[in-house]
Amino acid sequence: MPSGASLAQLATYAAFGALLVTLSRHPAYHPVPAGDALLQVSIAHAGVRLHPCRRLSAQELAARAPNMRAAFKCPRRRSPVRVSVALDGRALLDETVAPSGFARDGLSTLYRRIPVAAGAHLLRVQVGDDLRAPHAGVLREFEVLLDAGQVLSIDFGPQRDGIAIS
Amino acid sequence: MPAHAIDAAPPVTKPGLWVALERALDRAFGPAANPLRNLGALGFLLFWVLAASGIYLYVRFDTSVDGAYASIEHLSRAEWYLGGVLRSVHRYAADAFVAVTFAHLAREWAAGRFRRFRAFSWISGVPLVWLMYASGIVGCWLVWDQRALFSALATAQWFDALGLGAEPMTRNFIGVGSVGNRLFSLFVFLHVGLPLALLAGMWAHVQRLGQPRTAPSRALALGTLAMLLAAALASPVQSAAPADPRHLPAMLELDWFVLFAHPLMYATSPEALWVLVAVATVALIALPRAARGAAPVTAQVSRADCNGCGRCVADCPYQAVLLGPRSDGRRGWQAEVLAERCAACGICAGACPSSTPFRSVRELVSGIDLPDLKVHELRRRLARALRRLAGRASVLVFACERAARSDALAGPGSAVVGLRCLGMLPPSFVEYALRRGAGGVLLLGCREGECAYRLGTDLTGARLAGAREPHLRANVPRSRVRVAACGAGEEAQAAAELVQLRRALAREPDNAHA
Repeated sequence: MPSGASLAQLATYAAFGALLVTLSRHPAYHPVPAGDALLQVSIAHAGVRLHPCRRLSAQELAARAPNMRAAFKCPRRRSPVRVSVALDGRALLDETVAPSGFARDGLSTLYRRIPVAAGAHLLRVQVGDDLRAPHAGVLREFEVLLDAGQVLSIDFGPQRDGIAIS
Repeated sequence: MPAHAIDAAPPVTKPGLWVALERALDRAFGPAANPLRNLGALGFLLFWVLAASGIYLYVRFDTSVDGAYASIEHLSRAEWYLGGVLRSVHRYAADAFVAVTFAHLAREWAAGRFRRFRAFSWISGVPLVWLMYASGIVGCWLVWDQRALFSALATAQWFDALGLGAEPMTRNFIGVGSVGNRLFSLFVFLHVGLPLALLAGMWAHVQRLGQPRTAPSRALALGTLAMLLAAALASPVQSAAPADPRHLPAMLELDWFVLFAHPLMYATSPEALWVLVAVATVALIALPRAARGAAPVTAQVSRADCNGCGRCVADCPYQAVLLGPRSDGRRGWQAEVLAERCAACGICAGACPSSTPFRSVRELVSGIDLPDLKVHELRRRLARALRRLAGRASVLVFACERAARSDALAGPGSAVVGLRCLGMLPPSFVEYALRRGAGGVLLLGCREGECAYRLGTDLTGARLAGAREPHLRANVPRSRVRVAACGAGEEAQAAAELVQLRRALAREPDNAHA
């Protein structure tokens, strides 16, 4: 017959094992509310250059080292990118994203997760990559039918059909 | 007046909640197999379980993004009796590793074991927490199910918040087919490389400990393995649905031990999680400096009396004593003390062969000694205490100041000599006390597993048993010597030990005291 100490050992190991088994899967996590779909906005886009390239004068070129005499000087700074997403006329997202990098010449990147109710919706996405012209940019509207748990990704790439959903 | 006090009153008088819990488990497991007393060793065991089970899983694992899920499913279902069990053991061992690590951290913090000579072990443990989580999280990805995709995307989002990369990491996980074999190979590489880095860190973590315990007792190891196996059989780990970037299940069974940071991030923000992690990391690293306290005295070497035997080096619990070439022109070695590592426990003095009180010198100088409690002073206190003792039932008590309070043990027929640690007592002092009039000697040290200086109680036991130098000579009657392991708050047990020794001495035949 097992002693009291053996039973206590067994109980301790059982309690630890039960803790491992329980917390390794419970409580369940709900990444989106039940019945919702998820809009996933992922943009990585370089805005337009804020300043055009300028041809250097002969005097400016002469002042440079021979190996540095590129004909044009192109300021690197780029425009922030503005991203707007609306669903059925209700704004879900309206953000202006600065370019990355110390010289602000990199990509403007954005990643947002937005739970929305499943069902049929009118999705409106606008991306502007030149804030000097705030009303310019690309605008697209989609009629979408979202299932519960569906992930709809929104991306932007001028070389890839502009605004795209998948 | 008893020759008791070394300096201030014993710092620990009442055990805290954690100590009480450890003592409760002692009754069931015994100190050697008590999981709470062996958390570090348990961590090492779990690492090796992870390594062994992981090697088998890796051999059977398809490292392509398309084949990974299927290969794990095959192991879990078709070969559940081996591959499935090992997969579950691997997961539960990882979870247990996390639990044990945090329990270990909490225990050391509760005991204040992060100051001064403990600082290296404490600080070197902080990156291990990072490596543990990095290893565990990447390991979750290898299954490449919905849970893995969720975790990978959440981790990428967290790193993207730093704004370091040219292109966001999240974009690697968004589109169908965005995760390629090369990226998946990187995951596999990380899940091998990060645990190796963790192992290297664990090795460094114990470098400032003398005789580190990196293997639990056989009973604890077998019990832990049986527990993991039982959990694996009772509740086998299963994958979620295959990863699909177009679908997110409304409910995920998350492994909260490893993946708790993802829900935390979504409940707050990636930036908030970074701040939390950074603050926690800095706070843990800064803790030893913020709580330094007064600088302790450090052991000092008497060059003329040190013969370079190396016993102090072997016994130092914090690797604070090294052997270096003699600086007095003689050939051979001499001990050198690294002050920043020294705990001033005096265990080195207890190990020194020149610490014997039988030396007929006026000023007893040991090869290595504590400046505020020299062996000479110990002999002087012992001599004073012995003057108060007479009779076969008289008892001289050598008491560690961190063990149960010994004040009440001093009285008619007994005297107490206080020690910083029981391990600072050279065994020859026991023989000296018996020869100079004590009927018996009671050695009062910390409870097993609670030694404030890690090794004091164990070393004393080994020295008395003749298993370690300097040993108690064989002709010393063991019946007149008793070792009592009574921790703080166990004064009643200490008093009972004294009573029992007295009774035993009274029953001794007369020739035993000759």
